Amino acid sequence: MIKLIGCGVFSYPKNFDRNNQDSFLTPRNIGNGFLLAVADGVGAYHGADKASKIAIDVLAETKAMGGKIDVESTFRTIKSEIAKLSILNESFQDAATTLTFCYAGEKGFQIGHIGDCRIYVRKNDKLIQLTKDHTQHQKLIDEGIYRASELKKLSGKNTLFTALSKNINLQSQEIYIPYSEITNDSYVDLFIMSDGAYHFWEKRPKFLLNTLSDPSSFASSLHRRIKRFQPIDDYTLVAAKFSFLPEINEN
Amino acid sequence: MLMEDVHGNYKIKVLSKIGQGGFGYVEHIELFNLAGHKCGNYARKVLSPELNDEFRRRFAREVTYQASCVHNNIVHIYLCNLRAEQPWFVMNLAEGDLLKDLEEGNLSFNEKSDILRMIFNGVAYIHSRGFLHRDIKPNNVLKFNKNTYKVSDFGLVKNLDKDAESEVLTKIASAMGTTRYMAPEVLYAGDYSKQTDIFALGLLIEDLNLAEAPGVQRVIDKSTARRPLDRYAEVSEMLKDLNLALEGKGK
Repeated sequence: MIKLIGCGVFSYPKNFDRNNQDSFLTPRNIGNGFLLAVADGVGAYHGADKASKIAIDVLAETKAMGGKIDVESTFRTIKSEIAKLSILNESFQDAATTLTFCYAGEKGFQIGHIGDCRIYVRKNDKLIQLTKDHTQHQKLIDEGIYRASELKKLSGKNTLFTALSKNINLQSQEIYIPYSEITNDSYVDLFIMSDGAYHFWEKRPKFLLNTLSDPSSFASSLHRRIKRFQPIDDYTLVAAKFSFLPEINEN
Repeated sequence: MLMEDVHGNYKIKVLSKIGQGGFGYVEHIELFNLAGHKCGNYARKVLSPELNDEFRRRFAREVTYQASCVHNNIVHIYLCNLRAEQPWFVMNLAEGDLLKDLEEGNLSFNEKSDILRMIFNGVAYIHSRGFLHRDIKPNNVLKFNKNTYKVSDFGLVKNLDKDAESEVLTKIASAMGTTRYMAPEVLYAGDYSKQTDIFALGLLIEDLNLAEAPGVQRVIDKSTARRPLDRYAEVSEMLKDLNLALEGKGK
């Protein structure tokens, strides 16, 4: 049985004179687990904030069947709902969003991912990134076309090669990780961040273990850091701590 | 739809439709001044009326960038009307294109060499203006009188100048152009640079089949290297090597 122990959340626009194009889902009890998510509207196109909100609204209505979410079908439904935006307003025809969600089930995390938000889990005093960014740079590195060091001076870090949008091919990632691969005790810490948040985590990926182990402390520490250095984009974090009971061998 | 039109100090008489594509169509026209004196025969590219605002914006960009390129090896734009229900522009009337010449198979070694030099000069000029062509292929190289060849079709042109982009926003890359002439970084991640035009130029040399000059293969190999950083940095460097290879014909 999985229980939500604690949660830390923030979601702010880069500046207060503009809309926040990020949307998020705080841990929501669905079936025998919890669903949480972050969606980041793709800023270069009109309707980014609407697209990310649709992604979260549709996701929040998802049902778990057999202890799992149908990731592919969920993404397809969201894509078709975003496509409807252009019927309301032609300028929204390229509206797009990323979406990264996690369903914390009884035995492990099921992750659905498209775009460049990230999911991390805590392993001891480190955060381990579970998702892979769907960015132009990451793809070029994966295909051996550039080395990471060669891309530092080139543009494209903010360019995605897939997202949830009417005219873009879906290239989503689905991951399942049993809790037993993450931790030896009965607690797991999970963090979902938009790029505006993890940009500042990456700069110095360290907090005290007590901070890392407490989602609300983590949220307030990261938020302070972002405010100190000035946000570069809208920034969102959903962090959660779960407890689960390891399987008891009744024999 | 064939039409007669008055625009500014000119009168346009449509003679025939000479081409059709996804964007709309191309007409053969006669251009007159208002006194009735014939200025000459030209081609007019007309955008389809059913295409949406995004296509109108792209068409306007094509006109703006192509018209700003004044070079003997780039098809020049003389007149345009971007506010019309069907936006159009008037350009030189071509006798044919390189694809047709290659299909006929009558080009001599010297003619092929001269054609390549003309194309390279045109593309080098486009790059010097801070643009990428992104769709270099034989049917976008038009043939005019006195065996002059000019680069045409700026439909996929991109401005390399980052200042032209108002804000660094997350966006979605897409591969555009013709698959055969696409560099790996375009196919995988929609990443464009001068080296992607250089890759296409390498394949265009291959299309011309210059087996008489074996040194040309080295130029093709270098310009179509898998990694962009292993290709020529500039078209001028490539042209220098190509000239040496062509002069060393038979060696």
